[in-house]
Amino acid sequence: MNKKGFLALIFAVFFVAGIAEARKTEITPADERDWQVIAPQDSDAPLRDYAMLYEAGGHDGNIGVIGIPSMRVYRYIMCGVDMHNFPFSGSNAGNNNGTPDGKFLWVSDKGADAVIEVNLQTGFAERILANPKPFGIHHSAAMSPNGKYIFLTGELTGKVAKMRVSDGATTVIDVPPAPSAPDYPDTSKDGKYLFAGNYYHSATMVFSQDPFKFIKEIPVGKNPHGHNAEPRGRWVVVCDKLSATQSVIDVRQLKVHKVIPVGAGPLHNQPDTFGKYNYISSFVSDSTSKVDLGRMQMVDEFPIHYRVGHNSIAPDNHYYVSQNKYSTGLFNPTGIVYAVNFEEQDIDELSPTYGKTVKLIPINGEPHEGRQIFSTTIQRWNTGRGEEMFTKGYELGDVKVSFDDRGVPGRSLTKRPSLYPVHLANAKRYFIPRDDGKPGVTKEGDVYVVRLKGFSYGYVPRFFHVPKGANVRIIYTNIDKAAGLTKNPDVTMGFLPAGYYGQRTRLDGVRGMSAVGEFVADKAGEFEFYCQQFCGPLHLEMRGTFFVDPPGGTASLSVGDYDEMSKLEYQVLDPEEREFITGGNRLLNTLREGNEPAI
Amino acid sequence: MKKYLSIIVVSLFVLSCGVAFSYEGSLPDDTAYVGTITKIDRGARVIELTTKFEKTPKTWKLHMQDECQIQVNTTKNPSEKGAFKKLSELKEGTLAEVHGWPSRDGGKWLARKISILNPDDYMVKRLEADAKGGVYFGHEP
Repeated sequence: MNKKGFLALIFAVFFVAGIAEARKTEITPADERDWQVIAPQDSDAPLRDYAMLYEAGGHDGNIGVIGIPSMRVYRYIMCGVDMHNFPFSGSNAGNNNGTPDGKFLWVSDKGADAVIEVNLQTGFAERILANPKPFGIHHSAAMSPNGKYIFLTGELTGKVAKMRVSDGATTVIDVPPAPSAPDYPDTSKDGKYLFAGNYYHSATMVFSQDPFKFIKEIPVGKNPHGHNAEPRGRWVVVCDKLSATQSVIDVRQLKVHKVIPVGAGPLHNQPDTFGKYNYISSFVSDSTSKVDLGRMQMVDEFPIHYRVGHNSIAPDNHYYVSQNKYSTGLFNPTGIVYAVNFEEQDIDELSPTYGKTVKLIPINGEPHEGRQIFSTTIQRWNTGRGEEMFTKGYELGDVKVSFDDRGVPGRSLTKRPSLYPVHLANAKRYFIPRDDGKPGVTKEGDVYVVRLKGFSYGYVPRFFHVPKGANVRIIYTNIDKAAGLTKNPDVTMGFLPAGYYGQRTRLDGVRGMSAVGEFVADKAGEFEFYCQQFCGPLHLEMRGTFFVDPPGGTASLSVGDYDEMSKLEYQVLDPEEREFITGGNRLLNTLREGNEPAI
Repeated sequence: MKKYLSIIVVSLFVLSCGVAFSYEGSLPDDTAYVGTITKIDRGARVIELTTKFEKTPKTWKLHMQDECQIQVNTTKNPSEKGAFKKLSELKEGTLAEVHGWPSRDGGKWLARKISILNPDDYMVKRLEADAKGGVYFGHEP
C-alpha cells in the first residue's frame, strides 16, 4: 500500500468511527420513541411534552397536571374536597377538550358543593363560585358556546343550574318527576341544548340553554352516564352503563338514532376532534371500546389492565388515557387508600404500537374528568414576563388573551389570590378495630353515635337523623366480603356528605377496620351522602341521607340553614379571602333569561 | 279515491321527512368542517373551505371571530405540535379542520378554531381510505 492509500484508509476509518459516534449521540424525537422501553433514555431530559392532561383528582381535592406522552406527573393544584368535572375556559368548539384560551378551568367540588376556578397560567385556585343551597353538585363539565355560562347538575337533589361564571349568578330548575338524578352533562356546540343523563329515569334530559328550561326526556339504555356532543353537532353519544350499549341521539330530531353494542359497563366518552371515532371506557369488560360514528358500529376494542372510570384524549387524537380505578397488587402499597392508575394507549392507527398500552402510572386520589390541552397554551412566567402577563395577558397567535377582568367580582389587576380552600382541616378522623355494633343511631353520653355500614352498593341505615347542635360520632364499617362483579376483593367504601359537612367528615372504609369521624352538627339541613371511593358499576347510585333537624322540626330540602351555608365562608380560613367567594343563594335566580344569549 | 290520495300524501310526507333528516355530507348548521382552505380574505377575516372525504364536496364561507385560534394540530415536525399561528401565516391549500357554529340569525358561520392538519396523519388517511371504500364522511350510515 502506498502512502496515499494508507492515508485514505486512515481517513476512511476515522470517517466511519465518526459517523458511529454521531449516531450514538443522536436524540430520538419525543414522538418517535418506543414508550414501552422502561429505562430512561439520554433524551429524556429535558423532555418536552406536547400536551398536558388536567385531571380532577376526586377525593384528593386536587387538579393533577400530567405530561402527554411522557405521563409524568408535573404537579397538583389544591382545590377542595372531592373534585369531579370541569370545562376549560374559552369556547366549547371542538371535542371534549374544547378550544381552551388558557385562562381558567371551573371544576365541580362534589364534597364542598361548589365550583372552584383555577387559573391555568398561575396554577392556583383563584375564586370559589358558590352553588345555591341545597344543590348537591356532581358535574360542571358543560359550558355555553360563548364561555360565559357553565351548566351544573345537582345529582343529589334533582336540580340543574345555569351559572354565570363572572359572578356566580344562577338559574336553578327542579327536574320532574322526582326523584331525579341529573348526571353527566354536555352542551350542543351551537348553544341550543344542554343534555344530561338521569339514571333514576334511564333517560337523557334535554334543556334549552337560553332561555334555560327543561324540554323533554329521551329514553335511552339502563342507567346512562357519560353524555357528550360530538364536534360536528349531529350526535350526542350516551353511555348506557348497565345495558352495555351506546345510545346515539340525533340532535336535530331529539330522539335515539341508533343503539350500538359496546364493551360491558360503558361509562365515559371521548370523541375525537373529527367526530369520527368515539372512545368509550368500558368498566366491566376492562376495555376501551372504539366506535366509528360514520359506520355506527364498534370497530375496535383495546384491553386495559384495571377497571376504568373516566378517560381523556390528546388534542391531536394520538393518545388516549384510560383513567383506571382499582390497582391493588399493581403498585407498591401506600396505605389504606391505595394508588389508582392511568394507562396511556396509542390510538394512532399508523403507529407500530397502535391499540397498545404505552405507559401505566400510579396516581393519587380517585380521578374523574380528564381533559387535555396543547402545552403551548400555558405560558412561561420565568422569563421576566410576569408584569406583562399580569397586566396585559398573552397572545395565542393573533388572539389576545387578557386578564383585565375589571368589574368581575373577585378578580382584579392588583391582587390575584392563590387560594388553598379548606380540605378536612378541622376534621377529626381515626381508625378503630372493626366495629360490629348494630347499625343505627344510639346516644352514648352526650354523643350521638351513628353506626353506618357500607357495602356494594348501599348503606345501612340509608337515612338517619341527629338534632342540630349534637356531637356526632360516625363509625363507618365496610361490610363487603367481595365486590361482586369486580375481580378485586379489596374495595374501599367511602362516606362523604355533600356540602357543609363534606369539609370535616370524609371517611374511607377498608375491610377489617372501622373509620370514625367526629363533628358538631351545627347547621341544620338535609345532606345527601355518597361513596367517594369508586367501588363498582353502581358506585354512583350508592347514596344515603342524613338529617340535622332544627329545634322542634324536621330538616328537609326546604328546611335548613341553607342561606347561611351557601355563603361558603367556611371554605377559606382567612376572612380576607372571602372576597374571592361569589354566588350562592344571594344570586339565586338572578339571571335575566332571554337577554343573556349563550352563543 | 280520497283514501288513495291520502295514502299518497302521507307517503310523500314520510319520504320528505326521511330526506330532510338524512345526512348527505356537511350541512350549513354543522359545528365542524374538514377540508382544504381554498380562499382567504385577510381583511374581512373570512376563509372559504372546500370539504373533503364527502361524496360531493361543498364550499363553506367561514367568518373568523376575534377569539378564533389558528393552531397546528398534527404535523410531521414534533416541535410544531400545538403551535399557534397568525392569520398572515395561514396559506391557501392548507388542510384544516374548522370548529364553530352558525349564528342564530343564519347569516354567518362563526369560526372559533382552525386546526391545521398533516395530510399524512392517520385520521386523514383513514377518512381518505373510507371515502374510497364508499363510507363518506358526514353521510348517514
